[in-house]
Amino acid sequence: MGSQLENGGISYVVASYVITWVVLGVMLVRLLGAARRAKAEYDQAAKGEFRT
Amino acid sequence: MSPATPSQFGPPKPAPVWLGWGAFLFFLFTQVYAVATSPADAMMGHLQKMMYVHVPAAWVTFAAFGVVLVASLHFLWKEDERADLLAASAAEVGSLFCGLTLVLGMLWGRPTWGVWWSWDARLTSTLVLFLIFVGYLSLRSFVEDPHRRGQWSAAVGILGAINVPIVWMSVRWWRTLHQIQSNPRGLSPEYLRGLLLNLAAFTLLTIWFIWRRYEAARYERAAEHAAQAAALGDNNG
Amino acid sequence: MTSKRTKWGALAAVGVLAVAFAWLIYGGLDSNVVYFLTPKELLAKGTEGYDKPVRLGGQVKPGSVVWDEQKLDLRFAVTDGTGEIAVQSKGAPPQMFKDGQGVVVEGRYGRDGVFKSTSLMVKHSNEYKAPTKGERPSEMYKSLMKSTGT
Repeated sequence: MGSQLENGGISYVVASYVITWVVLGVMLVRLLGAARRAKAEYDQAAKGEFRT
Repeated sequence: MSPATPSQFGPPKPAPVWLGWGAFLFFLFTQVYAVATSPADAMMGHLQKMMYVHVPAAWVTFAAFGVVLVASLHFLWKEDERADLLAASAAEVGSLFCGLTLVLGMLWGRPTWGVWWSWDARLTSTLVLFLIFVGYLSLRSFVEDPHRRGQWSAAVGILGAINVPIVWMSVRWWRTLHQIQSNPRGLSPEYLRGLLLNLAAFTLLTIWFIWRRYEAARYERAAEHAAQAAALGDNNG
Repeated sequence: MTSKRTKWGALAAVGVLAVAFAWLIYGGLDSNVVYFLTPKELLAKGTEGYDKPVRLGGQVKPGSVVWDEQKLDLRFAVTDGTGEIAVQSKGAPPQMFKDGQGVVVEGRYGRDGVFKSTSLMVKHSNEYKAPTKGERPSEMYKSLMKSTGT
């Protein structure tokens, strides 16, 4: 009785790791892009100001 | 008035790209290391390995909301716009990890406890914490005026962060399904090593996330300042 | 620029709000919401304790577990050292269910003295120990690879 989980529930472990890696990996890539874009926009705005 | 300084603070100190990738690689290493070096637990078997994602995620959630608390107090005190942006960045990262902690906890609870969820004090207070900071982030997107946005969100941020010690102590103050915190003596050394390494890796990654998000927020604000200054320049000229 | 006085005012307001908020949300929890009762506490309620939705928590009394695989009928006793209540549950228990394990059951305590459980939860301790014989990490790794189908 008891153990009705296949392989001791390893699918739950695998799912946890996959979710964690994907979430953190996506966050990393998104933030790399976000700061770069924000800086570019700022540079653009600052240039615009000089022009006026 | 110098048009060369569109933001009153100048450009932010950038979060280096190499540090982000470095932290991520270190994180991958500690994950693989922990999984590969931990034998199956006497009670839980392989499910013990959930520890290396759920516990660090919870820890950095608390740490990030601690940053929100300090930055929010600083903003109310000094009216420094940068503190508001730092609080917002930490709140965003903290919410991400809080949500992750909840999901991972459910994935751990189902095979070990037998249920995905139960309304005990630990799970409920963690959900409350998550919802407060989701509210915090949506509040920020609704309020236009930066100064008012800063004050309101600082108030919500402080209220939210007060929940952190409550979440932490909930397993001791009330009867819960969730077990109390493990201490190093209750952990086999091979588990403790992996856990500490992962705590370090998650912390490093979180620092970079907050820093990088803050950098982006600073540029966004600086661009707004610049646009404003340019508009004013046009009107005057 | 805000004056010093409004700054203090804002801080004080936040402080008051925070305390009120914490008190509202959590102050009531302690006295009103008890996640589970121990057998001793449920028994002490007498007839008040019958036929109400309640959670019961304690240890599975060693030697009390009877599992009927055909009927999916599980019977065991929950004890807190002093009191003891017989529990009936449907379906296979979670993997970690065993003698001496901490459990929380949701259900109703019947007048026949049997607690009819609708949900059985295993409460885990905060200790993690490798088995004394010790599965070697390399063997563990192999079984992990096998079970993920690679």
